[in-house]
Amino acid sequence: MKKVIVSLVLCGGITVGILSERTVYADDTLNDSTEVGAEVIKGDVTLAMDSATDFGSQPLSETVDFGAKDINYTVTDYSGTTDGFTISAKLTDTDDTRSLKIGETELSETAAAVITKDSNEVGDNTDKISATLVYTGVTKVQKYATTIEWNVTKASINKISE
Amino acid sequence: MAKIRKKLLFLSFFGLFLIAADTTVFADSKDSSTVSGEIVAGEFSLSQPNDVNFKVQLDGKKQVVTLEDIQFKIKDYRGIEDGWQVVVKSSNYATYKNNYTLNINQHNISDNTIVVDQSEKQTMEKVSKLATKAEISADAKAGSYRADLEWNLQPIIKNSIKE
Repeated sequence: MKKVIVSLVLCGGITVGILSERTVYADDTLNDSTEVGAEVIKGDVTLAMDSATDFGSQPLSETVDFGAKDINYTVTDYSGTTDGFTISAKLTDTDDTRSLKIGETELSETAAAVITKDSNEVGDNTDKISATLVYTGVTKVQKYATTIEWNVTKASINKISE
Repeated sequence: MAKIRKKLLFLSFFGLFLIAADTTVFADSKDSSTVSGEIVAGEFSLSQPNDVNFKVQLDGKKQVVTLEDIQFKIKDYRGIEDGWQVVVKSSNYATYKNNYTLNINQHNISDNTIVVDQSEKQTMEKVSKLATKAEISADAKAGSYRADLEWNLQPIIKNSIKE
């Protein structure tokens, strides 16, 4: 009987010993997580127009119509929004004999919207716009040059928080 | 009541602040470009002058018959400030000079070139109407006489010689 009791005690002890090595205590940490944070902030919105557009030459007459030429442009938009943009244009000087239209808009020294896009791609947005040039009542033969100032504006986003 | 008003006022301002805070306006980007076109010398021309006809009954005396004006159009799109002149001569003058003489813009026409119209300075377009008369000689013979007129448009070029 004693042997049986001793055996049971030994077995019990061994079992407890084995089990004691597999005990998970409440304070132990087996899993954890790490948060990697990064904030992407608004990038630039840039405009690149064809630097020069040459309408060629036309003979002098009462109305010198140079016809139409395309002007290429690229709006690079890393603002993080795709709700379009507006390009406005104005001339740097006044010439009553000159009529320069971008699309259907006659340019003057006052900036006017000439291209409006309701949506855009993130990154490069390349397109072209037609320009027409006409001179009326010119009396001299020479090369006529006009500088256009372009400006791209991203749409304003208004969120009403209440 | 005053407290409620103050609270409403505060809330209104706060709301406006939130709206303004959420308004995103991105910076503008600018660029410039040049558009150019060259205007070169254009047309310099004289249109075809009209024909004139007259019929007169001889009476043994010198007669002056007023004819229809001779008209033509000058287009000068050379783009320079210099003027032009129109000259005319009648190459077959000898065939009719004993019977009549044509007078255009107060100049008698012969087989020598003569200036009948001119512009000292640049005129882009001009319609000229030149008074025309026929002076019938007292000893003119009856018949049909045709005066051929040669018109020529010439630039007036002013050269200054400096020494």
